[in-house]
Amino acid sequence: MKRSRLEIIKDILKIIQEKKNKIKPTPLLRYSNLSSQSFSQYIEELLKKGFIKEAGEKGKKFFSLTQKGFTYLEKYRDIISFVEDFGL
Amino acid sequence: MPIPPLQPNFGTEIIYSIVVLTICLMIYFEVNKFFKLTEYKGISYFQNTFLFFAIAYFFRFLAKPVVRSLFSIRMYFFNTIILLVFIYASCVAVFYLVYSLVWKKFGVVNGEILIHLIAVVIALIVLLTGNVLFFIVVNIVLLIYALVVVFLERKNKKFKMYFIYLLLVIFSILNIIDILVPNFIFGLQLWIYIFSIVVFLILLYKVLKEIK
Repeated sequence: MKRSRLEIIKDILKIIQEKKNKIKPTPLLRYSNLSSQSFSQYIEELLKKGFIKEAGEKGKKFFSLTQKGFTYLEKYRDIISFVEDFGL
Repeated sequence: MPIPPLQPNFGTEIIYSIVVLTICLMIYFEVNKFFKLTEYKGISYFQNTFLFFAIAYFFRFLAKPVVRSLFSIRMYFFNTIILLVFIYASCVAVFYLVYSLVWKKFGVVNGEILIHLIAVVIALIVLLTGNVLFFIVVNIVLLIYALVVVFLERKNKKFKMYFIYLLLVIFSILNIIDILVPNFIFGLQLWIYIFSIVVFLILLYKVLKEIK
């Protein structure tokens, strides 16, 4: 079954959280189960909207969650329940 | 037993308007918390429904003869503008509600522009021709469309609000008819006000419960 946009965002954020809030782009792409094109679009969106932040360490790039990212994960069940109950 | 006729006065009108306006704005700002977090289109259309209901009910209040006479709003131009905004906002609110249910089926087409365009056209036709029947027919068509959508969505067991949505559309149409053809529901206005408030309160309760 095709994942919804909200679900994909949750999955990406969850992966980052489960990897102790620090993950490189390549494993994140692999775990997120998206095409590289979709992955780039989602990462760009998540960075732009402030769900994740990019940090560099010894020349390597890492992604980690922001407070907004954590709040999204925390509220995800409520958001989905709201969307389903109101038929949105 | 027949329903006793109840006619609203200025006090009732102002209380009704303030209550509905407050409920609509509360729903709008509460839902906005989820929208800011997700930027999900369906949530945006849903919250816009209540923003436009709030605008509609504010202008509905101004459009009531009892209110107009009190503030001596007799100028034709202002009356026309008030009615225009009222009909436009009411149509947009109902359109947004229906669109929030079907927007995924529209694909890449942006139905929002269409919503505003159709609402402006309807408001202009009603005001320029004075043809209230046209407005009622459009709304009945919309109601039938909403009924079909809601019926189809009903198959989705998770969608629990179908009955409330239907009542919201019905009472919205009755509120518009109340302004355009006051004699049409003469004596029943207060009952419509009470039931409208109950419907809005149920929606507010549900929203507050889900967005803790």
